Amino acid sequence: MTVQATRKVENMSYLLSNLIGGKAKVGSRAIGKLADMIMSEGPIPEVTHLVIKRPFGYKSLLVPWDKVAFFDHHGRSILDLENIEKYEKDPAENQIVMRDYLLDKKVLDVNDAEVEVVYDIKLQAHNNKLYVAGVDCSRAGFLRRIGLRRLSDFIRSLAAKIKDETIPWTYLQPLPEKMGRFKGDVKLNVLKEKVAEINPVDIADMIEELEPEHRMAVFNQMDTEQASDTLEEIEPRVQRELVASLPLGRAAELINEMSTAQAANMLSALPASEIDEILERIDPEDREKIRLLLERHDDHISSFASSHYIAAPPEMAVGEVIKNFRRMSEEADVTMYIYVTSPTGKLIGVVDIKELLQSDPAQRLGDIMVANVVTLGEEDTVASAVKMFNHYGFRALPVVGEDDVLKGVIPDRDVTLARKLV
Amino acid sequence: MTFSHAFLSMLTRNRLKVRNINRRYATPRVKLSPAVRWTLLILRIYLLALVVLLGYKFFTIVSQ
Amino acid sequence: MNWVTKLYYRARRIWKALSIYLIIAGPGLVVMVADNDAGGITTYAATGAKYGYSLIWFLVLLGPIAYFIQEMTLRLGVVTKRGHAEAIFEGFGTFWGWFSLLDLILVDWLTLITEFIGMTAALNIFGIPPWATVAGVCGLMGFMVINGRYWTWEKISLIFCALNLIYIPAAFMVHPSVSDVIAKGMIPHFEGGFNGDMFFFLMANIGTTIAPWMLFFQQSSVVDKGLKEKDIFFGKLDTFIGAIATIVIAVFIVIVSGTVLQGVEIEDAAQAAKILMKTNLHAGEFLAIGLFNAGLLGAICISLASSWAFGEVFGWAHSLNNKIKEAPWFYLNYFITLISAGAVVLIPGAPLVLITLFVQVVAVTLLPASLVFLMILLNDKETMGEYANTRMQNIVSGTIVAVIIVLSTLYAVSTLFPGLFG
Repeated sequence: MTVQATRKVENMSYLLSNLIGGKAKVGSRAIGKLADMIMSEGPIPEVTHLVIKRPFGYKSLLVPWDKVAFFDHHGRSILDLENIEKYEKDPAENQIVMRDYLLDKKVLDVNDAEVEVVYDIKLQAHNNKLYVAGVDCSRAGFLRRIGLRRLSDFIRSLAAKIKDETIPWTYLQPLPEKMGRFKGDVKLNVLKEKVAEINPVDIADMIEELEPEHRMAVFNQMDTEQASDTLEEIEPRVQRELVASLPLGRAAELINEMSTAQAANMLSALPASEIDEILERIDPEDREKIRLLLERHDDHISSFASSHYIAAPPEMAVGEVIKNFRRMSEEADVTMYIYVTSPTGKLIGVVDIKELLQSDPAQRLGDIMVANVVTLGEEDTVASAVKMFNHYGFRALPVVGEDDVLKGVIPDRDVTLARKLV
Repeated sequence: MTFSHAFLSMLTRNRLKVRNINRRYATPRVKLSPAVRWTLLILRIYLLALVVLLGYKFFTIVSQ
Repeated sequence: MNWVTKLYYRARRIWKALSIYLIIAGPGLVVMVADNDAGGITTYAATGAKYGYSLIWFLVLLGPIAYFIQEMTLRLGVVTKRGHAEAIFEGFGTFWGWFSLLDLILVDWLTLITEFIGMTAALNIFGIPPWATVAGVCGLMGFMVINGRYWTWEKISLIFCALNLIYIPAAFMVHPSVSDVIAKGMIPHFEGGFNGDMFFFLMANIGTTIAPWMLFFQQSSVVDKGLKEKDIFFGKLDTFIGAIATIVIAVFIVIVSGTVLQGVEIEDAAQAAKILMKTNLHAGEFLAIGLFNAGLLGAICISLASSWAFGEVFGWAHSLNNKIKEAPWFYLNYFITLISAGAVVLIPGAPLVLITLFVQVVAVTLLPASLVFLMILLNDKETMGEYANTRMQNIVSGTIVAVIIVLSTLYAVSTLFPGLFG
């Protein structure tokens, strides 16, 4: 509750275009409007200052984020300034002024081909900080930018399922040093040699955000192994589109790289006719296994469980987990929960990622975990797992063996997939 | 009395001010290369000539 | 990127450039339009009356001359963040410093008197007594600065600049023959041969193009506005557009007087307006309003040029962003210059004609020195860095400076000793 009381910005995502123009107040006195924001550099930049424009040629204010007492989704703010004149400043030469420097800049891919234009910037609030989450290059963003917000919203309401085509900030190269009003482009770092350094989960996320033609471009840059790893991680709808637009030979090649279970997972998302065509092109011995897996009806849930999850001891500090989260979540199929285990591997609790982020970094996992964990047994069937998921609504469930030893974790999408197979 | 007093004090204050200015700008910062030196010399001569012309004109107007 | 995106990208950049221009525009435009002050208008009107359209091509040449000189003051101001008077003191020591400052005060004061002469004569046409004009002008100019914001002052000045375009409708009212204007005006030639009279007029026109106060004024206003190095391009654009505006206005005045008053000997612009009113009432009134406005703009700039210079050297607070009680000396200087010059016009039997004649002569004691200083300061790599003059700029500006010095000196001498070139 104390967190609620001191929260100055709601934890949600924002679009820069919705924020610009919001009234800024000191106490109850309106002093100007939000003209721009300044962001830090780095892989996950955050908003460090607000630029408040004042009327009639009064100098604009540069207000540090910690002097902002309240900030809402219209960009309206209440500033905690004792002396306004002290903040009459222009942004320094090396500061990145988001709207001025980034909006309407070209987005280049690694080959310097012009891909899109930055129509908007997506921000994500978290723990009273505002992070730069990505750049919006979508048609919707375009319509918003040219002032057709209503049309944009209308189209989005028609096709609510269409995802925002936001390019996450992590997939952009560091901004050029000479970024300015007219200078510098925003560059992607996801193609060619750079791609190898990125984790397949991340690439998958990114590919989901891209437009179909861009997806193939990214995909074609990757070697078979990596493409295969990435394909596994992509959500079924996009997976289907992607495999459908790949040449059959290439699709078979990618599937060949996967384990049989993963291949079965992946193939199950495709229409039956395509499954057969692809199966014909892959190794005969794998082919039979996959067929078997695809046809298995009353399999035990454990064969769907993934051994890629995040586990940590109860003594570990919250801050440490957050700091190392990226490394820990590499490879992981399930990233929504952190499983707290004893040295013997016994599952003693679970921590929701949301809970984790909202906790004091000094606390230990043992303090904040939920000890009474809902689990599945190794012998449980797919059907019973589906029931559990439907009942509890969790994103993933742990599978435990004797003495509550954690054997694996099953994500909900795999269960839906399994249910289809049943 | 008070007026003349105030006036005098203003004069002294400004004399100090002028002295300060003279001290502050005593050495020209621009590098006095031969070209610059010559240009400045020519400027002085030019000004002198103009002043002489003006003086002459003034003299002729007055004497008429 | 598809073509819509490309089009959007281009359009956005142009729009952005335009909006930045509108923020930065001011000093260059004001100084250039104010260049056509009461004396300038008289010169142009007299030129048109004497030579018709035939010297229009020569006026067009004055645009680049003004631009190249004023552009240098812009760069000097932006880079050094100091006014011209201070720059001379610092660069050339106390002798040249005091000389420039005191001479500037004298020239400005005398020029200010000619502005008042123009303004009172112009409004006298509408039956407004001189004392009312002087009082009104002082009141208006007090109002412009009383709010203590550079922004307010600049915006009001820009309105007066726009009002100066009144000569364009005035020119259309007198129905000039467009083909005549082009055929006679745009081809460089000397109608009736090159003689002493013609030479005198050419010198007069060059003489009104660059006045000493313009250098001091633009540099100080650029500093007061707080322009930065990154704004130099738009500052130059501002100056360039101002140069075009000043030429357009000059050409239209010549068209008005060349159409209606050809062959009439003109002593001053107010007289021209009166003669014009006999044949075309509204065109004459427009000419008178334009004359008043030109005088006002000149007065605005000139009185500020003096106050800024004084403030810089004496180290007083000297910004239009200061309130009157924050910068008492600055504003005191402003009002003393203004009111004393206005009062001279009201003195019965004051030698106004003599002053008008001698302004040019006194100006010529200052102009060569400040132009030479400008050139030397712009070649000082130590302070100017990458913004120092290039060789090409030196050649162009050097030639212009030489031409201005020689012609304005000859003009002054021929004013002192009439008939020297006849």
